[in-house]
Amino acid sequence: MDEAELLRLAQRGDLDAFNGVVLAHQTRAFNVALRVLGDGEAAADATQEAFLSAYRNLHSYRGGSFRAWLLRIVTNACYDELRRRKRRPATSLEDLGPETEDGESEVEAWLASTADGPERLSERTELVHAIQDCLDRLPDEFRIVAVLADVQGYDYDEVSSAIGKPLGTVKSRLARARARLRDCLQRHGELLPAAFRLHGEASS
Amino acid sequence: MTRLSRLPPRDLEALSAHADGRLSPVERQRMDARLREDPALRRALDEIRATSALLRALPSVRPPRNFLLTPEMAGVRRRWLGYPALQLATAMATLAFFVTVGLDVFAPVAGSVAFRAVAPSEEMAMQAPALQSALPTEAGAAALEAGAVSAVAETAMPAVTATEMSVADAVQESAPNAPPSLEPGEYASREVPGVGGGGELPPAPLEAATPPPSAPPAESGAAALPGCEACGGDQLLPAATAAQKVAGEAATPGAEALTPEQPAAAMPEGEGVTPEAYALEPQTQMEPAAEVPPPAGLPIVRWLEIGLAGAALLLGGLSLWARRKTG
Repeated sequence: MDEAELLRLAQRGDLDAFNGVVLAHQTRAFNVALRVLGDGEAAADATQEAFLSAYRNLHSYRGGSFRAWLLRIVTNACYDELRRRKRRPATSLEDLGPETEDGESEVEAWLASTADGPERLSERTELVHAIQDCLDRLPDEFRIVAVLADVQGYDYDEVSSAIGKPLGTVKSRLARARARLRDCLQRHGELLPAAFRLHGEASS
Repeated sequence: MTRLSRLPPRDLEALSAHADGRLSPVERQRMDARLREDPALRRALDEIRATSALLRALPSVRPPRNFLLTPEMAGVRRRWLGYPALQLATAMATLAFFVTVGLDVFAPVAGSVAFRAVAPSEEMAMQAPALQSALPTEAGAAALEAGAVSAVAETAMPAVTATEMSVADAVQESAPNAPPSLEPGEYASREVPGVGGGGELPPAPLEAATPPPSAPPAESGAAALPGCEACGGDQLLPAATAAQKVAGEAATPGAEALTPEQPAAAMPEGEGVTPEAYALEPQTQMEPAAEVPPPAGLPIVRWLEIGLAGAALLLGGLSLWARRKTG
């Protein structure tokens, strides 16, 4: 059964059909939330909230790209969580603790699946942490665009629809996010891949 | 080393869009020409590409759990939809309750005549003996009425005056031992048709006068007013409306004609009681309408208020319950 058929059934209240759609999209949705929020547990909560919200608002889905429609809901769930953190800054600091552990275990799982030797394992782990750290340092609106466009590879139009801003805003925010990330990552020089480092040294 | 964030924003945006192949053909040509000339710009473009590639290389993380919705989670939706509806219903019931109470309190005559149905007859019964006790004889009562009529006529309220006159007539007709009573009655029946030309006015006061003679003479002063209340709209109301057509001219001379019949002593007394007579007026006017629904138990307005208050409380309780249930 294809996605359009599952969605038609789900719109008539078929929860199993909707859960079929959830299975197809949950990894992507969770990864968006994880990179935007930088916290595995908060990302899981935001993802769950997004799917619940998607089910509740399924009547407003009028065909077209479900991926883009869902992305907007996931983005909004992330915005909600970021706003919650701003209201309770103390809690967000505590949340950063388990995030690191959670991120590490996920990274180890990914690293274990690659063919790299053990000596490169820690390097890659550190690189992932460095990138996430630089992402976390970005202003929220820059980070969301960088995650959607670069980390997840959505095109400009999908990003524009997800954040509800014009294309020009997406281009501008992405350019500035990339510039800041580049400057931030430069400080982790030895962790960066050779190509990245070469350019950094050449320009200095 | 150049810091990308120090590039002019326009160049930075153009390079970033170029890296994604999102420049228009014209922009792209222009940018390519500049890139050939400017090695620093080329480096900046490479750095942007490298940064983007690094981010894309971030591993996709397997979610720690499934995000499948359970029927309980989906069921939350129905309760949450019901909660605002309950809230709205509570607000509406409360609003309707206050509007009803407001109408009841601030517009008792216009809004809820039925509510007042019991009250006037009770007030009348209380005020009538008070009037009687203030005066020794029925003749005095007639004098009081005459005084009241003259006082009212001076304030130019023809309709009320006519009503008072017919009441005065009834009082005087019902009291046989009061000599002056006949003349004003005759005057009214003689004078009013002459001015107004209305033929139905004289029979009305006469009909109104018919029931009281059966009452004992001692009570006639007090009995006359409730008697009129009993005679209802059929007799009093046409008289009043006919007199309205005649206007104040007919009533004022009538009232003035009454005063000389009584000694001067009656006048100050009558003037002294005038406020009470005023207080009586609206009730005597209201009686015909108020008589229509029989006063049986609580009026409809009260039942409505009780019902709405109950509904508001019940809905409010349900809203609180729903809120606690859904967390």
